[in-house]
Amino acid sequence: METSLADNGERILETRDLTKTFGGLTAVNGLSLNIERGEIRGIIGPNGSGKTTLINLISGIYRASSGAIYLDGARIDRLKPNVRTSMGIIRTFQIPKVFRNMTVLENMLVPAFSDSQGDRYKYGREVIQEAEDLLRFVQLYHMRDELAKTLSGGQIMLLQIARGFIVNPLKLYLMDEPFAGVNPQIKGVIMESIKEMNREKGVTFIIVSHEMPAIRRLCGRVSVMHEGRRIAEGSLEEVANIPAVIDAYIGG
Amino acid sequence: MSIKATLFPIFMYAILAPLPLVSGEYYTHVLNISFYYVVMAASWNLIAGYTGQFSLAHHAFAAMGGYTSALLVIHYKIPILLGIPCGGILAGAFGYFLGTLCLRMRAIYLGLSTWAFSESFRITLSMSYKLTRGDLGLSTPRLLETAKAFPYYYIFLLLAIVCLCIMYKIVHSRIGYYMRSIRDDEEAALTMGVDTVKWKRFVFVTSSLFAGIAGAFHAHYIGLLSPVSVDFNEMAILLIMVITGGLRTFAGPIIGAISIEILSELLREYGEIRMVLFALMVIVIMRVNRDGIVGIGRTVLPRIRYSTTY
Ligand SMILES: Nc1ncnc2c1ncn2[C@@H]1O[C@H](COP(=O)(O)OP(=O)(O)OP(=O)(O)O)[C@@H](O)[C@H]1O
Ligand SMILES: [Mg+2]
Repeated sequence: METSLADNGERILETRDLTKTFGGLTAVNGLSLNIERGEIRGIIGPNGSGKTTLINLISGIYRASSGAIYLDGARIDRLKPNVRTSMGIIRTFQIPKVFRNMTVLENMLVPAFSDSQGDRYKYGREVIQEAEDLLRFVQLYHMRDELAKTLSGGQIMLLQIARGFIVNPLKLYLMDEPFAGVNPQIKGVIMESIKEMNREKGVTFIIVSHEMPAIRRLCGRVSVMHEGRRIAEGSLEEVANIPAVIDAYIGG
Repeated sequence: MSIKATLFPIFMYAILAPLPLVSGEYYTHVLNISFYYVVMAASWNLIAGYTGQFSLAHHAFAAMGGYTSALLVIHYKIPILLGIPCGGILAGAFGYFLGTLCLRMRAIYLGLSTWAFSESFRITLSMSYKLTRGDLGLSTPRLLETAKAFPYYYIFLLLAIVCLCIMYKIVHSRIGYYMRSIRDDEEAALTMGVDTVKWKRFVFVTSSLFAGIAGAFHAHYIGLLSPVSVDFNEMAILLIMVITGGLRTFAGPIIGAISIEILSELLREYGEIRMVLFALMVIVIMRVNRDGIVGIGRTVLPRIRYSTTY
C-alpha cells in the first residue's frame, strides 16, 4: 500500500449521524464517517446495506432525512448535486450512466463545460486536449467519435470513470461498484487510474465494491456497512476477522 | 462561428429568394406557411429532440403569441412590429411557468401536463368571447397593406433563416451539451455539474419564445386567429414534421416541415385522410430509422459524422 499525497491527517469528508429513510425502511442509519484527505477508502457490506444510498447522499441525489455532511469543514448536505460537483465531488453509478447518444469525447466534455466549471468552456481547445489525454489514459481514445451506446459494458464503465477525472478541482471521487461486470484487463486499467490520480493529483476516493482483491490492493482502510450502520472499520485484514462482520455476510 | 457557418445562411437566402418568381401566388403562400412551420418544428425540436422534454404545448405558445400581438395592436393601437415581440415575450413567460411546473416530471407525465395546459388555453380562448370573439375567430390586422403572398415570402424566409441561425448557435454552444446530456440522462447530467433546472427552464423559455414570435407573424399574415389553432391536430402536425425529418437532428425539422407542408398541399383533396397517411409514414420511418430522413441519409452517406454537426 503506497502512502498518499497530502496525507497529513486532515479530514476531507465527514458525515455526522447521517440517516436516510424510505417510508418505513431506514437505508442509512445514523452513519458517522470520517475520510482523510488523500485516502482511498473502501466501503463494503452485504447487498442492501445502504452503500449506494450513502453515495447518493454524499453526491446530493438524495436529501438526508437527518444528520449532516461536511466537505472540508463546510456543510454541504443541503446543496444541489451540481453545486457539490463544483466543490470537487464527482461520482460514478453502480448501473453505469453515460450519455448514450453523445460521442465518447462529448461525454467527457459535458462535465468539463458544465456550470460547475465556471468559464472553463472558453478554453475549449485545451479542454478537448485534456479530454483526449484522459481517453488515452483509459485506452478509449480510438473510440472518441463513436456514440457511447456502441461501447461494451466494460468500456462504458471506463468512460464513466474517465469522465469524472476531467472535473477541476477534483477532491473526492465516489465510485459505486467500479469493477462490477468488467473484464480483468479493464479492471486493471481502472485500478491503475485510481492509483495514479490518487498519487499524482491527491484525489481522495471512496470506493464501494464487492471485489475484495481490488479493495485489498487499493484501500488502506475499509468501512463495513450493515443495515445502514457502520459495523466495523480498519484494514481489510482487520475487519475480516471481526465476528460482527462475518455474521453480517453469513447471516445476511 | 466559422466562415462557412456565416456564409451558409446568406447563400440559402440567395438561392431561395427568386423562388416565388416561378412558384406562382398559391405555392408562394404554401412556402410562406412552410417557413412558419420550419420555425415551429425547429424550436419544438430544441425542447423535445435535443432536451428530451416532450412538450405538447408548442402550438399553444404560437397561438398565445398571435393573440397577444393581435389584441395589443387592436386595443392599444401599438405598431404590429412591437406587438409581435410582445407576443413572443408573453409566450416565453408562460414557457417559464410551464417549464417550472414540469421540472420534476418525466416523459409521459410531462406530455400529459403540457397537453392539459394547451387544452385549457384553447377552452379559455373559446370562452373569452368578449376579448377573443371565441370560435368566431379574431380578425387580425395584416403586417403589410396587401394580402398577397409574394411580399410576405421575404418576411417568412428571413424569419426562418434568422431563427435557425440563433438555434444553430445555441445547439452548437456549450448549451447544446447541456441539452443533450439532460435528454440522455438527467441524473448523470446533474452529477456532472450541469444545472439541469436552469437549462430546462432556459429551453422551455427559448422554444416558447420562438413559437410565440412565429405564431404572431403567422397571425398577422393570415389575418385570422381562432381557437382551432390550438387543436391537438396542430401539435400532431409538428410532431409528424419533426419525426419524419429527424428528431434530435438540426436539419430534420427543416426538411420535415417543408416536405410535409408541401405534401399536405398536394394531397389537399384527401382531407383528413392525410393525417392517417402521415401517421403511417411516421410509423414506417420510425421502423426504418429513428432519426428520420436525416438518419436514413446518414446510413446512406456514412461520411456524415454523428456529433453535433447536423
Ligand atoms: N429510492 C429508494 N426507494 C426505496 N428504497 C430504497 C431506495 N434506494 C434504496 N432503497 C433501499 O434501501 C436499502 C439499501 O439500498 P442500497 O442500494 O443503498 O444498498 P447497497 O448496499 O448499495 O446494495 P448493493 O450491494 O446490492 O448495491 C435497500 O433495502 C433498498 O431496497
Ligand atoms: Mg449498491
